[in-house]
Amino acid sequence: MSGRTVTIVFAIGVLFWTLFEQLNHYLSDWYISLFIGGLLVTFPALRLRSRDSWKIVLLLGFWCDATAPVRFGLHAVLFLAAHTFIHFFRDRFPREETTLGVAVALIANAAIFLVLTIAMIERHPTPFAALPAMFLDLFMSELFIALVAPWFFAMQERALEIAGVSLRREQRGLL
Amino acid sequence: MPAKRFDQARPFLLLGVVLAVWLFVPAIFKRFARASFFEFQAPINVSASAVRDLQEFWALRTRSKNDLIEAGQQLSRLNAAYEVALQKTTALESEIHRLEELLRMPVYAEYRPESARVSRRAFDTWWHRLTIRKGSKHGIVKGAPVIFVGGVVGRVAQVGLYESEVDLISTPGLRLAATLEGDTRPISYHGASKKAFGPFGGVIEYVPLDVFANSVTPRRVVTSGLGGTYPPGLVIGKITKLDLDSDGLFQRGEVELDPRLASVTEVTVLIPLNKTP
Repeated sequence: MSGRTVTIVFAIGVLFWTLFEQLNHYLSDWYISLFIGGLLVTFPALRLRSRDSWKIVLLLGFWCDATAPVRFGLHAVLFLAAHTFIHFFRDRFPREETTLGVAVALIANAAIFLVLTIAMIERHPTPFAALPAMFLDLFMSELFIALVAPWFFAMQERALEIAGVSLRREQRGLL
Repeated sequence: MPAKRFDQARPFLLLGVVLAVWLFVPAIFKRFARASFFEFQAPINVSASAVRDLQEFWALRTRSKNDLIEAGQQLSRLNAAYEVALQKTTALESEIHRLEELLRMPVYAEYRPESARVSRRAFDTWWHRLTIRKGSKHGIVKGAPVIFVGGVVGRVAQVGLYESEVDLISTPGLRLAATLEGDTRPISYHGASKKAFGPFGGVIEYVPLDVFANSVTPRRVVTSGLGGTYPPGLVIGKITKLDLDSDGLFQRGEVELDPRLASVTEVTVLIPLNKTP
């Protein structure tokens, strides 16, 4: 069951990442780029058991690292850090609620984006000149996540249901 | 209670272990892992790109025959012009070879052009990259210069079997040796940070004080050929602004890159002949 959960959620993450890259390809005409790292982390961290979710998050991080000009594993470590914090705090909130999921995705995405920016800023010859474009990209990314996150969470949950994986055991107060 | 406490701390312990492994694992394992994930992604990217091509094909099928006839006529005119240019180039190349032999001059590195379709453009906040549908199987090598109709695109940063990643010249921090068109003095070019809603730009340094350029009378920046990566004379962009540098000995300015870079679909990789396996 555990392997099936990891495979399904990872495959959906890869599918979504591929669609998202196509969107970025078309947006390149307007010099805009979106980042959705926080969205990929949120569902596994909020809804799945830790023994499954960390594997999914790590694999998705490596997937993002493969084509990025960063030290291999940077995305993976950042995703895992975000996952760890979300997982630690998740029992204090109604984590099955979509609204909370969207809010967590927005916060996690902004946090990963800012850490990546700090890590990469040394490459910029004039860092302050890059700030308007960075904030524009972040704003557009957050807007995009707010729009698609409910659908993305529902797709992951439904795919697990179809594959016979129930999330009822993960819900608070049932066991 | 202690068991619960440990259960809560386990994700943090795991994070620590992964962080330690990531920091201390030998680079060869990371390279292997990156290459594996890269090769896994290649068929997905190529398929997505092929689907886009198919969409374009079906969109073009809706055009009228008159449009096609007109496009064919334009193409034949272009072909005729290129044929003349090709003949001139051949004559000039043989003249250059003759003079090089006569004067015993060092010969410029030769390149084999390899056309490639762009499968993905990723102009992220932190880097600007293209993925092209050709890799080591087609002779692409790391560091090879990439050009398009508007001049320099960038250089190959990562090579897979069927796909390669190209760093654009607008990527912050990417440097190359340049010169002004009609001048031989070397200047330094590097990619600048992305502006909100573009366009792409770069920065030039060590420009001599007697050079004048602004947005009304811009000057073209071309590759100098120094360093050996890029052949000389390839267009980088045009200078739109020059200011005195802080040391007072040189000028520093902004370069505007070709706006077609943002929507490039076809590029040519210049494969150095002496590096071909």
